[in-house]
Amino acid sequence: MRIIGVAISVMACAIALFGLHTKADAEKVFGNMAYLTTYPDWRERVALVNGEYSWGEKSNDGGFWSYQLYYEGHSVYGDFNRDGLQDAAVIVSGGEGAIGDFRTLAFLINDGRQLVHQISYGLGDRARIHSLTARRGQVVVDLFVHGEHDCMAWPTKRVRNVYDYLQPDRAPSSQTILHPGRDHPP
Amino acid sequence: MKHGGRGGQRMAKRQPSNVDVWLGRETPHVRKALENASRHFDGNDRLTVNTLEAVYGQENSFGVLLGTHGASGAAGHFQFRATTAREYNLHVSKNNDQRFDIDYASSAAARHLKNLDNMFSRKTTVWGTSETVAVKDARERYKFVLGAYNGGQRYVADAQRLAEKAGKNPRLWADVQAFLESADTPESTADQMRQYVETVPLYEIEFAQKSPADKRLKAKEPRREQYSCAKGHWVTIDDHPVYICA
Repeated sequence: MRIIGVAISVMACAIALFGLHTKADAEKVFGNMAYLTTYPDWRERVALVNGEYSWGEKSNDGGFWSYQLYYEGHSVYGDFNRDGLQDAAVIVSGGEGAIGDFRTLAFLINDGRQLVHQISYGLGDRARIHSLTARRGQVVVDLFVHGEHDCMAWPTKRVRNVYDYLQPDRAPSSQTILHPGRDHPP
Repeated sequence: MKHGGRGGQRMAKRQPSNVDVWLGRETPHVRKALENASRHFDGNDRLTVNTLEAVYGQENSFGVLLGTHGASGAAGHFQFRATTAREYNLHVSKNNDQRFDIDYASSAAARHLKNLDNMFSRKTTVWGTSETVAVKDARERYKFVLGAYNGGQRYVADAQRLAEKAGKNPRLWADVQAFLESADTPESTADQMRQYVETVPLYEIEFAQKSPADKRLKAKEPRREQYSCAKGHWVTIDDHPVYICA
């Protein structure tokens, strides 16, 4: 019995270490690659360094603008364009010089040599990601978005959105409301 | 079967509004911080201490959900991203994140609102070639300021230009908001901006009726010296961490 217990502990440690290793690997890969900016009229690839990209400028007439993008730590692998190669989908966040924090689902397609960011879906300002999974070539995002009584900092309406790379649209392919969110102010 | 009794009384009991809940959380320190921050406003704008209260409630439910120290994303009392906070000389690190200090955070929020008000009061470059259209009426400009505070000044400026091209009035929020999506604003963001511009003023009206915050401080000069500390170090005094300015 004792040997079995030790064996289970060793396996649990190995699984935990493997998990940490893969998460660290993901941080390294997805936190240091190029992403398309989220604005169609400013379509440029910007490179994240250690998970972050930041740029800002001031104009002479008192205006200022900035752009930030950072990797959120959520990623999943799958064959999203059904070509037999392993692609990835990750959550990146950012926005311009305001207070919002706009989450985006970025599809990174394997071109045979590397993963290249092709398209993005907006998930919402300060949406909280519960999980990101791949299912039958689609990406399933389980997340919290703003309900009627939520403050901006903490959305509580839980939805499950399904995104299909081959059916690009502004909206998810399907959405299921898992919880309507709080029914009173926080 | 009879209705009423205790159940009926419960039904009849009025639910506290969001503003009632938030005012219950407004400590004298928080009120003082918001009042002091309102000194950054002036007679040219439509912003008041009640605007700050309304924004604070809408953003963060009066400090209930602050987020993580040093985070790149939105965090702290007014949910500033790290870059925006640094733009207003706030120190952002894991050890000292001034977004979590109500005095610094409310000052930055007030200065940001005032900056936006300035940007929309005259033609201003807000992104590359994107320029605002001047909105002279302070009451109307206030809506543009709130929209920009929530979603970013560029989206609003671009929507103004598109409205103008379509023959609409770029100085009227009612006309401009219809062009947010055309300005490449993601649909959910555009909806959120519209809702923000609708909701915050309603909260502000309620705060104006119920809040004891001093609206007259707006007419006074801001206390600039108290916001100058961006560098320093932590020490422990009487078992409490205290930040000493360099």
